[in-house]
Amino acid sequence: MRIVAEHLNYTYNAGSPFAVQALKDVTLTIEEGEFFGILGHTGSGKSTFVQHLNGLIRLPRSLRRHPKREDPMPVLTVGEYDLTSKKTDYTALRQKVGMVFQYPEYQLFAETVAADVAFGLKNFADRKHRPTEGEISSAVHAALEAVGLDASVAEKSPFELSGGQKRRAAIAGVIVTRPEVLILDEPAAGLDPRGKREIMELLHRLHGDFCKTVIIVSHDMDEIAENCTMSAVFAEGRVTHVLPPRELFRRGEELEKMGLDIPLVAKLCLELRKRGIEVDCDFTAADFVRRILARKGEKA
Amino acid sequence: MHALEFRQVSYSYGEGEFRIDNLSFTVEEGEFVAVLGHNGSGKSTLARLANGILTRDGGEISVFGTPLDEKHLYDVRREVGVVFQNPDNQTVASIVEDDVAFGAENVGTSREEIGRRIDFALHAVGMEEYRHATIARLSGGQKQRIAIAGVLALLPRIMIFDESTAMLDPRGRREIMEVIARLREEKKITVLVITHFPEEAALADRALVLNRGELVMQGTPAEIFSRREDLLTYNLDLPRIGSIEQALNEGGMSVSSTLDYRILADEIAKELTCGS
Repeated sequence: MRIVAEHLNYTYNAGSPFAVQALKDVTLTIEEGEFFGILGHTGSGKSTFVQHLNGLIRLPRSLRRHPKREDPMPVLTVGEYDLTSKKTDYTALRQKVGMVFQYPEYQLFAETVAADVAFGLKNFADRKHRPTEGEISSAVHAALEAVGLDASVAEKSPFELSGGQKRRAAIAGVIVTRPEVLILDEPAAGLDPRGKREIMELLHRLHGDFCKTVIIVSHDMDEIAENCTMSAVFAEGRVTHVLPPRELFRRGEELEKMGLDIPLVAKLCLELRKRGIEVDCDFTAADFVRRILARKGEKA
Repeated sequence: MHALEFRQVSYSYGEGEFRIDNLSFTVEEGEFVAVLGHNGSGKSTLARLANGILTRDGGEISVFGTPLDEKHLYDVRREVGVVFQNPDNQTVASIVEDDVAFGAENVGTSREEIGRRIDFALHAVGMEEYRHATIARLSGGQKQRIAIAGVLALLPRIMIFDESTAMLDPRGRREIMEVIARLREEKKITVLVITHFPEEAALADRALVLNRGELVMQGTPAEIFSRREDLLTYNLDLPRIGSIEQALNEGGMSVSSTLDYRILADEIAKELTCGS
């Protein structure tokens, strides 16, 4: 599913003294198959944008019906779904676009992991074709397996699991409907370095086998540099850059001026440049090391 | 006299499940100590034992020479403030000044004194302007600073930060680390920081590494992070910069282990430009 957004605006508490314009004329296309990174400060509009993609935030009706003539018409399509239309089937859309919120483990609630994972599947089910118990059970087990949880946890209470396991269980509850697009808000936040690495490895596995497109919202620039095929920077409600990470982080100084962090490798490259050494790498640690060692080899 | 002393402390959550096993260490007054360890290593249990939220099963804990026992529990608790992970779980009032006053009010501080404490605490965390603000409208980093102020209003001499930056964005993390540095310098508060972030541990005078409830390593952060093999045995990942240094060294270069990318850049530049 290709995602196309054009001229999106969104204001929280519109018409009140607390009105905040969170999106300003956002135009962004996310191609099918990308491992897409969205980055920016807190309050830059990242989360507001992704919540549009499965209809958690809908375009204001007034805007849909009577666009001001001078304003360009907003466009928002996710695959075959046109979210500017009044007839969008949001239930169907939400099966196709899975959303994992920040700290999803706080949303676990059922008595068993299996029941928790099955919840979405049961509730999104088409009234005419309710899945059988057997179908539910096999989908739940496939989802647990996909997130790397042992079948033995299925009958445990989600509250008996470790932090990392809980997060996996929560992700299983989203991918159980087999979404084509999986959106995760800060999937690795709050985990220790090993937990972070494991979650990113999991997302790469899901990207290959389960979901065509993965979109992560992240503050961690290293995470974006190491994992994403494409990235977009949000600042103050606008999209300022849409570039593959290797090109984005070449503009390290520009990003730093915007108050954003840059990946460790990008910092090293900037420091080396100051010392008269240009390193042309894709800003992953592996590529950086390879290129430095190659230089060293040439010299020897 | 040590600011904080654990002598052979043990604690278990259930039969045979030791979270803290025979743990001994000391923290000196004014020191900044980082506590590292993978999930389940007992780091948070340590924080909760230190101010009596959890009661140890065995051993002795003392704070500035006062033993942590039933008789002295409330005295010790006033000396040892703990700031937790989730900013949203640590505020009770809706307005900043009410929240900061909450702890001090509960220990029977006089009204005039509470006013002074609020001034002091909000100034220490750089939030004076937000005295009458609504907490719900603050950012995560600001909320966490209010949580710190609430603890400061009790005038503790030791503060423990239990992954207090884990849920914050990079800007919020920086704010909190700056506040911690200020508390040490200006208020001479003894600080224990429990963290997963090597960059935060690097700021400490000393680091302790816990594994399965036991103290397994102790030293300056640079020493700890240079013992790579050991870290891996204790299920701790190297900081990102450490893995780059290791890979460079495995490829035949010789760079030292540092947590500062500028120093690493210097060493790489030296290797690539001068004769080796």
